[in-house]
This record gives sequence, C-alpha cells and structure tokens, in this order.
Amino acid sequence: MSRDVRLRVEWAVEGKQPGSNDEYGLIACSRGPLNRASFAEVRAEYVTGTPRQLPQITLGWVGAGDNARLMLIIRRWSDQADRSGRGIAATRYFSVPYRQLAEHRVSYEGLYRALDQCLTDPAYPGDGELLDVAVPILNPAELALRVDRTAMSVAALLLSDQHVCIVGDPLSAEQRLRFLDVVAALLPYGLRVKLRASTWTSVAVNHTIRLSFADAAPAGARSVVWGEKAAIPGRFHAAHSYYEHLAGSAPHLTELIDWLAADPEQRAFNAQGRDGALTRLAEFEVRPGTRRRPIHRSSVEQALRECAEHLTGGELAHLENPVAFLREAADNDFAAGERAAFQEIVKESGLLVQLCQTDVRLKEPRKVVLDVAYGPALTMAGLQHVIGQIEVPSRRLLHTLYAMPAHELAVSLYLASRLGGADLFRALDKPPTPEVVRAAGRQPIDAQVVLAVHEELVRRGESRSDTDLAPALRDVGHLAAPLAVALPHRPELQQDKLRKLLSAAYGPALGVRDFTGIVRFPLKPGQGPLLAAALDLAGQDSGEAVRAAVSDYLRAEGLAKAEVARLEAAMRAPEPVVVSPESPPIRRTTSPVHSFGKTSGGPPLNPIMSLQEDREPGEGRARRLGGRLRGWLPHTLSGWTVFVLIVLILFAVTVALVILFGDRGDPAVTPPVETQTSQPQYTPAATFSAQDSPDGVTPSGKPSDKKDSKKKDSDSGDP
Amino acid sequence: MSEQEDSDHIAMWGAPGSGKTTLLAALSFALLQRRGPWRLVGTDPASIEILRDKSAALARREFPPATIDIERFRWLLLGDPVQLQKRFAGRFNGKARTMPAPRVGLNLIDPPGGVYTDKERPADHAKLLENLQRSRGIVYLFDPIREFEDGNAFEYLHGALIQLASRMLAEDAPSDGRLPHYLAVCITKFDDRRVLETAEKLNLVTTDPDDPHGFPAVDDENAQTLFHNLCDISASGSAEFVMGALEQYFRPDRIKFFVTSSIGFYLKPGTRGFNPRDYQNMVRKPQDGTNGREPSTEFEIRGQARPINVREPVTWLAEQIYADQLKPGNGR
Repeated sequence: MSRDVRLRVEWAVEGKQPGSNDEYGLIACSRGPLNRASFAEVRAEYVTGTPRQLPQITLGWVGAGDNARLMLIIRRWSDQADRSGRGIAATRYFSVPYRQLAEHRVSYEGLYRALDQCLTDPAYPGDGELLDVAVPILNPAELALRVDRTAMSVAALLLSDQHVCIVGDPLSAEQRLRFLDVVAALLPYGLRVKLRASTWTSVAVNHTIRLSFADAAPAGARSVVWGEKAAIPGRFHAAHSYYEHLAGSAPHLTELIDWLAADPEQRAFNAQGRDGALTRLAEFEVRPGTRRRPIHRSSVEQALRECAEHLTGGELAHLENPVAFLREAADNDFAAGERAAFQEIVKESGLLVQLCQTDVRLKEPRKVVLDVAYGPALTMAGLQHVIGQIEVPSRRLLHTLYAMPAHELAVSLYLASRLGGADLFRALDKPPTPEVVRAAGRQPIDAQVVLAVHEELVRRGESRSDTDLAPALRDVGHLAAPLAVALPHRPELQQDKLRKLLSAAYGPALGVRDFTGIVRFPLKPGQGPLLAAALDLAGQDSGEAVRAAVSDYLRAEGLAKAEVARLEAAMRAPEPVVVSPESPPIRRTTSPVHSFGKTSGGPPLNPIMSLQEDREPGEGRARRLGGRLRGWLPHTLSGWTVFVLIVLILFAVTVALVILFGDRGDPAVTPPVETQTSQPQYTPAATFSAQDSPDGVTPSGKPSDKKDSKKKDSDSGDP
Repeated sequence: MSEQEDSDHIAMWGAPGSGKTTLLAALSFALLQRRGPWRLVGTDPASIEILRDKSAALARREFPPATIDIERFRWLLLGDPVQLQKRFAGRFNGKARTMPAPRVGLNLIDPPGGVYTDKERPADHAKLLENLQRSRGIVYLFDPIREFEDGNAFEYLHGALIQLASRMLAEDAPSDGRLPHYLAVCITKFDDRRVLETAEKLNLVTTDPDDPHGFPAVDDENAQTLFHNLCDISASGSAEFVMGALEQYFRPDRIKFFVTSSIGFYLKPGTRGFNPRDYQNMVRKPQDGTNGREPSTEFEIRGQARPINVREPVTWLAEQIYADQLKPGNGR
C-alpha cells in the first residue's frame, strides 16, 4: 500500500469570459508567495501552442534555491464558449515548493492524479486558499515497470543540451505523462527543478520545453520516433555514458530509480549538472552492498495484467516494459501464496493462452511470465495448472516449460514424453533407475510417462546388469498399477509389458523367492496381469511359488506356524486319485504321483529342505518343482486350469481371511476402492486425460486425431 | 540561422477576436487556388498540418480555436516568372522564361490579440515586438463590428506601434522616420450586414465579372474610403486615431487597404447567385433549451465558407518584398 505525503499547493486558473471576445487571461489565483504577476510570468514561460486536442499536461519549474517550485499545468476544455462559439480552454497552474519534497519524492503522475480534480469547479477556493492535497510517494518499482530503451535513450539525450520531441506516438495525454514520468525518473530527482516537459507542443510556437510530444520536431530539436531508441550524436559524450550506465543497470531498475530519486540536490541541464548526474548514476554501480530489494507482489500482478491487456489489444510493442520488469522480478523469492496469486492472474486473464500464439516475439515474454508465475522450479502442481489452461499444449509451450528447472523428475518426464526424440532421451538417460521408477509411479499417473519409463527400464535391464531395478520396482508394485492406468482394459498387453519388465529385472526365469517378492497376497484389483506375468516367468515352478507366496501371506497375517504348515501340507498333499476300472491307467512315466514329501523311488522329502532347495535360483530346479506340482494334480487338468483353480482358491482364502481378520486395520489390507476414493485428485481423468498433445499422442496414450497433428505444424516460430 | 528564420516575416496584427486566425484558416483555401502569379504553399508538414486543422474547423462551419500562444507558420510563395515579368517590367531583363520560379519565404506570425498590449502578458508582448521588428510585412486586421461594439482597435495598435517604432527607429532610423514595413490593412467581416450596407451607401460596392456567384466586392482603391467611414462608428471614438497612427508610422506608399471576409456571404444550397435579402453567413446560435427560438450570445457559421479577399493581402505583401529583393544592390 503506497504512502502519501501532504503538500500545500499554490494555484492559478487561466481562461476567458464565456460569450465574450476577451483574450485569455488569469481569472483566479491563490494567495501564496506566487502572485498574479508570478503566474503571468510562468504562463509566458510555458508557451506550448494552441492545442489541437486536450487535455494537455505540462511539467516544469519556477524559482531557484529555496524558492524552487515544481509546476504542473493542466489544460482542458471547459464547457463554455466565447462569442464566436469557440470552446474555451481552462488552464490550471499548480505550484509545489520543492523543499516540501525533501523528505518524500513524488512522481509527476502522482501529482497529476492528486490535482487533476482540483479547481474544476468555477467556485475556486475562497480567499485564494492554498490547496492541501495528499500525493502518493514515488514508487520506483512501478516506474521501473515502464522503462524501455526509448525512455532510457531519451533520458540520456536530455543531457545533450538538445530539446527532444517524441513523434509518431498513438498515446493519450495521460499515457504521454507516464512516459515523461519514467524519463524523469531515470534522471537524478534534483534535475526536475530545471526540467520542462509537456504532453504536446506545437511546432508553430517557439517554446522552451525540453522534452515533449509533438507532431514534428522544430528546427534545432532532436526528433525521437516513439518506440525507438533515440540516436545520441557522438559528440555528446556525457549523454552516451549516461545511456550506457542506464542500460548496464537495467537488471536493477527499481533500485536505480530509487537511488536517483533519493538525490534531491538541485541540478541544471548544463555541464555541471550533466557531470553531477553522471556521477550520481555511476555511484549506483559502485555502491557497496547494493542488494536487490524485494519486489512487491502488487507490482508483479500489475505487470502481468499489463501484459494481458497489451496482448488483448494487439500491442506487442508495449510488452517490452512489463516484460522487462517481470524478468527482473523472476529471480525474486516469492512465497508460494504469491506465486499462486500470479498463477491465478495468468489463468484469469488468459495471458498464457495469448502467449502461446505463433508470433516469435512472444517467446521471451512467455518464458518470463512462466518463470515469474511458475518458477523458480516447475512443480507438478504448477505443470497441471498450466496444462489446465491450454486445450492443446503446443510444442513451443512444452519447450518453454521443459527449459525451466524442474522440481522433480516426473515433471521433466511429462514434458519430455510429449516432446519425444532427443529431449526424451536426455530426460531418461541420466537419472538413476530408482528415481526413474518413482517418477513413473508418481501420482497422478501419466500414461505417456509410464510407457516411456517402461521402455527405458526394459532397455536398461536388457543392456546392463542393473541391480537397482528389481528393488526399485518392488517399491512401486512393479508398476502394475501405473500400467493398468496407461493401458486400461487391456490386461494381456499389461501382462506382456510386465513380463518384459520382470524379465529385465529378475532374469528370464523367475525363482520362488523372486516370485514371492513380486506377488504379495492379498492381490489388489488390477494385479491380475502382474500375477500372470510372474507365473509365466516362473514356468514349471509357478505352483510351488504360489504356495510359498500364500504361506508367506498367511504367516504375515499372524496365523500360527503350525497351522500354516498344516495348510501348506494340505496344499502339497495330492488329491486322492480314484482309479476306476473304467479309468485309463494312470501314466507315471513323466510325472509319477508321489505322496507328500516323497519322490518316486527316493527318500522322503523334507518340506523345509524342499522349499529351501526350491528357492535356489535355477531353471532345472524350477522345472523340477513344476514337475512335482504337476504330479500333485490330477493329470486330467491342464496347466492353465490348474492356475485358475489355484487363483480361485487363493481368492477364497483371502476373502475368508479378510472376514476373519479384517478389523485389524492393517493398511496392507485396506480395500483398494477406498484407496482410490481417498485420493480423487490424482485420478488421471481429473488431470491429464482431457488434454491432447500436439504430437499426435494424447497424454493418456491414445493417438490424437489428425486435426491435432496439424496444429503442431504451427510451431515454426520457436525451436 | 536556418532557412526558415532567414525568410521574410509577415505578422498578423489585430485586436482579440478581430479574425486573425480565421483569416489564416481561410487562407488555406487560397492554397488550392491558382489565380494570379503567386502560389502559396506550406514549407513543412507541421505548418501544413496545423493550417489544415484550422481550415478543417472552418469547413465544419466552426471558427478555429482561439489562439493561445504566438504561432508561426512557414509558407512559401512560388511565383510564375512569366506573369511576374509583366508586373515587374524591366527587372527580369527578358530572362523570365529561363529563370527558376521566384520564391518568397514567409514566416507568418499569429499572436493572440491580447499580447498587443503589455498588460497581462508582458513577456509575450516583448516576444511579439521582437517578431514585429524582424517582420517586413504586417497584415493589420480592423474589425469594424468589434470596433462598433468595443472600440478598442486603437488600444491594441497604438501602444505596440509606439514601442515598435521606438525600437526600430532608434536603431536604424530611415530617412523619413517611418517604419520599413509593408502594411496590408484588412477591413474584416465584409459579410456582416452593417459593413456591406455602409459600403453600399458609399457606392463602393462592385461585382467582379469573373465571380460566378456575383458576390459584392469593394475594390482595393476604394477600401481606404470605407475604412475611413467605418472608423467613424467606433464605440470609443478612438478609431479615427487608428488611421492617423498608421499614416504616422508607415510610409503611405507601403500601405494598402483590403476589404475582406474570411467566411464570405451565405449562399443558399442549390442556388448559384448572391441573394441580397439573405446573405449573412454568421448568425447567432439558437439558445439551448429554447427549441431554436431564442438566439444565444454565441455565433456560428451558417453555410459554406467562401473567403473574400483573404489571399490578396498576403500576396501583395509578398510581391512588395519580392520586388525589394529584385532591386539592384539587394544581396538576397
């Protein structure tokens, strides 16, 4: 919130008698040190010409030393006319003693806004009382927002002894005033006691206004085209140096303006004044301990809104000022709440949507706005906020986002998976396996990231011995759930992907120990493909592996060891085979039926030893175990039938156990449905599924239509 | 010194509201005309633009805004050597057809009438005197209507004239003790009924046979007579001193009188000829809220502006200045 300073202001009003042919003259005046004659002199000094359009605002000074005053002259049409029906212009003169500004400096614009509504009533303050007004203190950050190369070069050019006319502008009087204010702010404050500036001067008058807007520059004055850098003739060394210093200080404009405003020493536009100004500016650079001051949140918000307004109005050239400010502000240490406020402005104003247009000039503004609102490192929440604003994120937007520091790998992978090619390769190449795996399993699940990571993990597993892969996968359920999201309703494909993944992590044949590490009962919905993949890799040992897994689960659930052993034995005990006379003779050649713990023609098998033995990795052992399992089952059942039966049995056991022990509150047995409903914000449908990528693949992994594919072709403006 | 500053100045002189700026606006119409040996053009875009603004107001049937500050317009008079040869016989030595078009640079100064006195704006008054001192020609506007109502023409002439004379004659006194300026005295507002009737009573009204509308006119030779008579109706009675002051400070052979009107006579749309019963082009505006029945104190232009004799004073001054340039020994 800006502070105010109270000022006592002398005033005078110029006009003419309505309905008369009288000449313009002073019609009222305050009763201060400046009397009628003083104002008449001021009036003669501040000749600007018969205005073509009003209002017209002129800035200046009168007096010197302790009597120095800043002048503000506002000319507007009155609602009266002279005898010939010609409109009468009312000119109001305001004078502020410079010493009143010793404590607090004010801007020209602040002064104008405080005084523009004064003296508009024909009933002027009785008895010529001075005005008592509150004027906001100069705000360097707001002024810094509007600094551009035109303002900097014009400020420097003013030190060249030449009058400067800005031509070719489309601005209103108030916009011109703001520009004059910025130029003045780039000079030591004390120069204002000798600065005359106006929002318009006529080329048809000989005036003494040092800086003004005009239709054309009069002879001897320097013409500066609006929006362009003023050319400073080589012979004006001080002006050159001043400009270079200003340009060099561009990253710290707020501090610079503050520094210049803090210099109240009265200076003139002569050699001494020029040297003084240059010294003051140079001191800013060498000043020890120059530190960036925090930029106020409101200034950033204003800059963001200005950007949006300029873009809406198609005024790309006017983006320069707010973007320069935002660039400076981007490094500021904003609180999360402030960033959130910036993000909301970006969203509400549609700024990002407009910044994603194809114009190459928007590349830098886009980067700066994203840095300010979503920096310093792009979070997943920030990324979602961005994506939520753009129906189809363009490659140029994705590139800009990808160029930002990422808060976590999942952010980089999200963007790289859309960009593909080298970007995706780079994003996946360096991070360690556990981090990559975690990024794929990070909520919200992103289909493209999961598939890209899967491919990378398989590659890593196949190409090198990655000992980190299996433990990392175990931490995230072997990516079964992310793959279920990425490939919904396609369990066979999920199984295939999981089989490749498990193979990459554990080898082509899955031992019982690995199996029990992968398959953990009770199974959650959607883990069928994982079980299938594990069984597939376990091959002949799958029966023993399942039994071991079930036993592990039962033990984990707290069942007594003896009971588990009994159940295990029951699982191992072969079903009595009823050999009927009609039945064909049981063939024992390949898989003779044994009693539990015994092998045909060998010593009895110790179950524990058997398990220990079975847990040793090795294809031969697995095959042996599978052979035993098959021996334990009726020969009339096929392998898959056995598998289905086992699964059914296990489910039945699981349900029974849940009923029996469900009140224990173990998170491991929390119903999956509750898990999902407790985190609705992470469901893919609520985050990414609606946005189509321009790369022809939707974030959910589905190919986008041709229309979307064509849209990406419009990215030629950006790399 | 720039080219423009080196050009010859012509200053506008007249009381507030005497019609200086309106005459300038009307002059822009002259830019479109090509009558006589001179053609008037603007020399810089800004001057042309400002002039265009002023004339646009006149085209909208509005008077241009009252002048607030001293304004200067840079124009150029381009002459036709062949036609000028006839007028300045002997000075071209038969080279008219081969010489480039003569040029007379004109810096035309339009001050607010009030600065001709030093009461309110002494600084501007001083600037004006400087300008007058550098001028070689003066367009002096005498508004008989204003003189009839206010009678202040002398007030806005005499003081400045004495000061100008004291400045110039003290520095470089001519042999006859008069100012070196050429003076075009313009009797303005010929379109006003009272002025026209005065001219008619004096049998000074003629009609230009080349004028398709048959508007009344007063020959330049008779303009002085009209001026004398109009001075008699001054509200203050001081107007008769105006003539005396002009004759006292300017050489009689450098004064010429013109009867002018910047807006001209009213011509009813669809008619071609002057209607002696309905010709007033400046009328009072109807008062707001009276449904057009009550006139206000303000005036407006009724129909299209058709300036009368506004170009001639300037071209006359230019010719005199040009003729001086042709004189032997004039280095310019």
